Amino acid sequence: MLDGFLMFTKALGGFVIQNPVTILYVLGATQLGIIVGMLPGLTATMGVALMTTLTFKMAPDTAVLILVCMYVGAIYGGSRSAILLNIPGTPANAATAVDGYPLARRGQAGKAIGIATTGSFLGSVIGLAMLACFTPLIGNFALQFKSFEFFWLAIFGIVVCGNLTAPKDPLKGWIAGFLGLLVAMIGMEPYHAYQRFSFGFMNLSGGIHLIPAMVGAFGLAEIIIVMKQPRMEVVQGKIDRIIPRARDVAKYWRTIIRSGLVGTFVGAIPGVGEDIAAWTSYDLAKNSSKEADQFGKGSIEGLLAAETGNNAAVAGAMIPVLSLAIPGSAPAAVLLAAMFIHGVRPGPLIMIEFPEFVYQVVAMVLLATTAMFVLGLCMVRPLVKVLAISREKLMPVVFVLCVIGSYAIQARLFDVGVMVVFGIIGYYMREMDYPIAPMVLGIILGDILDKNLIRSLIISEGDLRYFFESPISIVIASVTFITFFSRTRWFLNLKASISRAVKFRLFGAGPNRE
Amino acid sequence: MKPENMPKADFVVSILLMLFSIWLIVHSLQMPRFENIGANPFSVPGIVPGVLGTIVFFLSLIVFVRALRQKGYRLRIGRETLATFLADPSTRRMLLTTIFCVIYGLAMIGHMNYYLATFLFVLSFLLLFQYRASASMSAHRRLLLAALSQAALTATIVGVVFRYLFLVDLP
Repeated sequence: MLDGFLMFTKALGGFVIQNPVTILYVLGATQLGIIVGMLPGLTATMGVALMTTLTFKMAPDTAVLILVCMYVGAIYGGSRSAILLNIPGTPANAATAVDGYPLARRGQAGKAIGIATTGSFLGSVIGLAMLACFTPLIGNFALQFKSFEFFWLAIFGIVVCGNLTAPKDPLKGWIAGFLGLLVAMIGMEPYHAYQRFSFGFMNLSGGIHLIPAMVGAFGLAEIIIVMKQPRMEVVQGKIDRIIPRARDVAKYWRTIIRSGLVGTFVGAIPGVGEDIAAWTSYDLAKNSSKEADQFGKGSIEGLLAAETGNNAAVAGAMIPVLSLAIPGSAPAAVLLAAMFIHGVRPGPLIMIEFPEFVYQVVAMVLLATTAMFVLGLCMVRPLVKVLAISREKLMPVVFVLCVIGSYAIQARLFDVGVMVVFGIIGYYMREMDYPIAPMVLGIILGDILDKNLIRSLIISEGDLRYFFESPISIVIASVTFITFFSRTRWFLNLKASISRAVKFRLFGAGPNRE
Repeated sequence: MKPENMPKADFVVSILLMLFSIWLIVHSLQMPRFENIGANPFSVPGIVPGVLGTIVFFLSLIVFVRALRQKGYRLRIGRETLATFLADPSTRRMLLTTIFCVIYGLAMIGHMNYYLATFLFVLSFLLLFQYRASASMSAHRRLLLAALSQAALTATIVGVVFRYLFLVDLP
């Protein structure tokens, strides 16, 4: 623990004292992140992906720092358009709009922005404390993982992510996830160097690169959706007091702590992301609030819960990135890819190979969070003008960046084609309620699944009992199966009959006893 | 998409997905097994895509059965439906955006000078989506001037930053 704290202070000192230019990078990248987040059509994922292409010639720690700042800034920045336009800048801020916009309509836009900024700051602080505590623990625990456990972890990621990102119809989430795993099968396989599904095309033999696929699925798809929608109107009127009163925030300390913890936990579930974290925090706050009737009508508590939850999820999403090399959210997936590009190898061995890096990331999140808080409270009025930029002016520039960003990583025109194809697929997937996050997670987990399934089959000589031998495998497999079957009618009937039987045992038989 | 059209979309997409997964399974079975070099039978290249294809098939089958129960097979796609769909302004904006992006990304980039391609793309995008026939002549002139400046600035700044700052050989 003390070693960790020393590494953290050393990392922080390294950024702030030894290289003061870093502060400029932090401020610049966070500000850019806020702008990216607040503009509908530019998501955190897209911002981090485009920034990856801009930073890949920098030193690894500086590049990752800039990406973390962009990520934290963008997730927070989305609250601006949610409050002022009723259009969440990123999907993570959808819950923010529910109470933020009514507050703005009431002439309390400044107060709403101040509360959202404070909530985001406190959420990030709770998240980064959990990041510092849990990453080493999970990293050390993950050292016990063998092929069987990694195989189950990949399936678990897809099933849970599909379930949570498509709550109305998890079947579509699972299909999207398994299609993502299939995309990862394209190219040279790891055991015999056989080129699968490349059909003789040289470009396909290297597989589908994650960044162009993500820039397309999140970038181009978003451009098409934004251009399809009708015009949006900014809430007019003077921005009132921005810095919130301490008592307005302190009154909801329980909600803040709960939302911070829930946001971090949900963020740490593979592929689930900040939007689900915000909604979960919001729902829990509503269910336990004394002012539940105010939710949806401009509740400060609801706004705090949503913003605390989504920013806590940013740090939460980095826990599995660092400890298991599995992203907790879509922007974290790009961050993971960027880490690999820069030669840092997150995963179970990180606490042995790069222990300092874990605490460097904690220091990065702290710097980004502080910059976000300061910039969030200072630059409100000038930034509102950014929202007045029309989508017709913004979207072609965004697409130009998507194209050059996809091309720049490997200087291949093929990647531009991948981006366009995934953009169109992503658009139709969204139209038909197929979530994109499980597909992206599938592309990342495909390699882990491929190697570990084959390795497990070779070790066990095809005996499936070995897949359920270790306690870790049993736990992960059980959760996966329960999640998978929890929506089926027979499972619900079984649950109801078990519940009836338990009540019968506890309370005895009685007519119509409930 | 309107909720009432979802069963129809599910019906069509589930059939496509089932066909795709059958093709995947067949293709996986046809992959080499490297028996001649004594490879472990569980390490053959087709095993994982085959398993995944089977899972996708069963999941799509469930969607298909569900769509059948919701009468998703009553597609009723006629000339009238298609005309209503195409007449919707949001559909037109969606189609135009897609076409413009596809042309720029697949046909212009790499086939002509990057600066020129980007300039033309931004200019045409701006003019197409901002042009209002009812606007006055002076408004048209202002629009053209603004579009020309934004297109030139975008092409120059993005090109120069990537070429000279990030040392990327432009396509």
